[in-house]
Amino acid sequence: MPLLDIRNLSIEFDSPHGRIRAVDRVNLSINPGEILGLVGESGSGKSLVAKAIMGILNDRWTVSADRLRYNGVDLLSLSGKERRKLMGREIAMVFQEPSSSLDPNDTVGHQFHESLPMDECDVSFFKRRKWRDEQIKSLLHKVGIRDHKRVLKSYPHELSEGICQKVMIAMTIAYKPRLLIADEPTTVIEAGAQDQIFKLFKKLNQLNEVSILLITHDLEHVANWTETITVMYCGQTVEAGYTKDIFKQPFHPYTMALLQSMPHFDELLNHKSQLTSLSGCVPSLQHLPIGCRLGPRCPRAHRRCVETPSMEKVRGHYFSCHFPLIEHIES
Amino acid sequence: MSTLLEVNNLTKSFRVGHRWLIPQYQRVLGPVSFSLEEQQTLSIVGNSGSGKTTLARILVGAEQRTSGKIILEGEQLEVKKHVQRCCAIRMIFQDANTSLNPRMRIGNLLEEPLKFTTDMPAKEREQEVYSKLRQVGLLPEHAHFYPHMISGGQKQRIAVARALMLNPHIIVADEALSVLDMSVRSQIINLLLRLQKEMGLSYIFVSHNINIVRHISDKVMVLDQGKVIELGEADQVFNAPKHDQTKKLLYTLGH
Amino acid sequence: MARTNSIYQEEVIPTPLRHIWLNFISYPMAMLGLWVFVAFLVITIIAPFAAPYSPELQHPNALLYPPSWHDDGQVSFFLGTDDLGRDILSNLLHGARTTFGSSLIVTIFAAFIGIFLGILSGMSRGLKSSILNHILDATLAIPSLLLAIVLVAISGQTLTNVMIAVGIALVPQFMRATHTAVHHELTREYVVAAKLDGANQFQIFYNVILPNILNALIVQFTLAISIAIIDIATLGFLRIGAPAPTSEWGTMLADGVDLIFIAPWNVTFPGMAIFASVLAVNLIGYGLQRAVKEGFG
Repeated sequence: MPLLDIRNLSIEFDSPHGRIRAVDRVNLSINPGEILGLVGESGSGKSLVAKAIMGILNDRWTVSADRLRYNGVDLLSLSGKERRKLMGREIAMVFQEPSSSLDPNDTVGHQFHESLPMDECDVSFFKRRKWRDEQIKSLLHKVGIRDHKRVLKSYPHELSEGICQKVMIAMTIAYKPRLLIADEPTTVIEAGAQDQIFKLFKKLNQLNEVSILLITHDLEHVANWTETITVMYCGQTVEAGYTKDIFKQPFHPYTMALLQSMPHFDELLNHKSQLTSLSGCVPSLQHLPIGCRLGPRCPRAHRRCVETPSMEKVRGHYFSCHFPLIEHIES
Repeated sequence: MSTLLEVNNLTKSFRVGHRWLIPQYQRVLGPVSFSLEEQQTLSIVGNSGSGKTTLARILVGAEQRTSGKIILEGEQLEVKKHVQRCCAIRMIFQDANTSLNPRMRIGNLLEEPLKFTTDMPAKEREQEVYSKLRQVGLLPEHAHFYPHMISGGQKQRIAVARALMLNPHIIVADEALSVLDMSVRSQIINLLLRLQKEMGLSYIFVSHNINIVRHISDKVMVLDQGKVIELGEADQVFNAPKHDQTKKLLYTLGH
Repeated sequence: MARTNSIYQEEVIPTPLRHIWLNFISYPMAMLGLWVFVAFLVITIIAPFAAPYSPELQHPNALLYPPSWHDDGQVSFFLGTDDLGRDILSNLLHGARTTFGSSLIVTIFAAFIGIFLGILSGMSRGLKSSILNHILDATLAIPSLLLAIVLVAISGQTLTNVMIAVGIALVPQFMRATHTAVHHELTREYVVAAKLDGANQFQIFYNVILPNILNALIVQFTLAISIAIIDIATLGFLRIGAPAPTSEWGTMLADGVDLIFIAPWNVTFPGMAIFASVLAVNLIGYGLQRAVKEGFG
């Protein structure tokens, strides 16, 4: 049974121009112990999906889905209180800018003390402080911060983004979650520390059986660190499947364009020649195309593309396109 | 192929405090020397804190150098001569969101360099702005928009258009591509490559994305803690780096 | 608004100022404040023509008449009279000129001087900027009341001296707000970009910085008006404000305090006038702050 099962998730909001569907029938499923990469550009709605899972969208947005289940529990039918119990304990989220997720007025150590769960504390009142210190020290060592004393005494602005992100991850694994949602965790972090964060995710996944939903816009990140990928464009899922399969043979024109925008992907590319890229730009929310939203930009578009294509499956590889990049389908 | 830009022993030191009332300086950018020809692309790579942004800003005039010489097209560049400098070397800023004035229409933004440094009449300025907008792939109607109304990729195109405004010979791009999505990034790279062929521009690219750097540059300079540890042709630096530090850096950056 | 060359125009793109105005209009409380403010402005202008009697005119046989809706009141003295037989309505209308009108004038002058000095200090750098910063902090500590007492003691009690004293006390606030706003703007990237485009200091200021600090200045202006009204009324209440024949809301309050149990309308009406004008200005300020924060997105 998948740990997180999402079917036909739609997120809409009311604007002066009418009802806009920012996320259009997205499907997603994560098995226990799996790392899923959710790839999409800015404006594709991937952050919205993450926030809808956590339940932190504000009232302007309407969330509807055929299935939005975590571990068999339907998230949409939970009350606020029950949802809050689930969040932070079973599902944890790490955001894009770690130093602004921490309170700038307080030292990191103080904030960590505040947010540490005390459920499993079985020592007497007087020994609690020492127990908390031990827990924090072990958590920081687990995420790879050696000089924990210096980090705990500093304010967030004194630490680099990489270390702040590790502290955020340490704060989330204190609750021993089963699913960790990472929303563009390494975008603002320098290149050397990005690798460390990804290695940390892999370690958490292998040692503690934490499933990870990695949201990113960079295909190079997902190539090495994920097992399955779901590609989103403009609020629609365009392709989903195993990472190796998709990189070897993408079926959807958009995935192909994404892969071609990485220069080293195609080894035969001449130095300083033009990269193959899609013309045009991502449509704004006021002017969403009908049917397949890649239609206006797709080099393989035909009249049929004004109907939204349905999800088809070939050997565990899902795609939604009327004219995919495969010669023949073995049914 | 004449030498457009020649830099000799450029250094930069910042004041880091006082000791017995004597100001203490710390050198953040060690002696840097290189030269740049026409239609050539020089890339500067390095970890964060290696001084590559400082170097880019010194070249374009946003910061003052502490010592060393910059010779641009045969003339030595003085520190405060912005008017002279901006016709020859211009910059594409990293973050288009913060480098575009949110209160000005795009057309006014783009005609600012023309207004400040030339005597063109208003009609000619308008025509120049429209032609540059078309060159970067936007419509002349975009000149009436405000920056908050257009997407990130389009904002970056405006930044490129602004850098093209006075028809410079060298354009410095300070991590201009790192905040963009992948498809937008490839469009901007195609645009820059096309402009290099059409207008004979030279580029100085500051980036930490090794794959892009490998695709577009002729020469590569590797910086670490402010010192140049390697400078040479792109193929040679990537395939046969001379120093161990370069190898380590290339490995960290994902090569 | 912008027009393109094309014949068919789909969208008209409003300027940021117009956007802020459209935001402002959509707040009912702020619009209420604006209407009350405009009403006071109109009163200030037409007071000499609209007042039924001259404010100093005493009616010896009409002392302490209650307002006209009371049993003993008379319509000819609409809001009643005070203990010297002066009509309260006429005094209120003329007092609006003094309290409200002169506070506006004082604020405008203080704004000009303060903003000019603030810009000069904000655009400077290094040692000069540091010195000006400290001087500004020191001037912020000047209390307007003390300054007014000193000025009045030295050069006599006239309305002009009161206005000068209140004005001088308002200037540091404008200087500080402008200095901070300009300093903050100077750290932005687009200022660097404009400098690299070849702009000199004045061009940078006029084209780049000024449009971005207008919001902060407008909000500061409305706050300063309310401070000026209260200051002038306070000085009048302490009887060091405008001298005797000039009617002023604060002085009316002071005169009426002794009669508060016998004839409360002497205190209520000037008090309500002060309250209404200050509340109106603050509502406008609040509406502007919200409109600016919502932005022009």
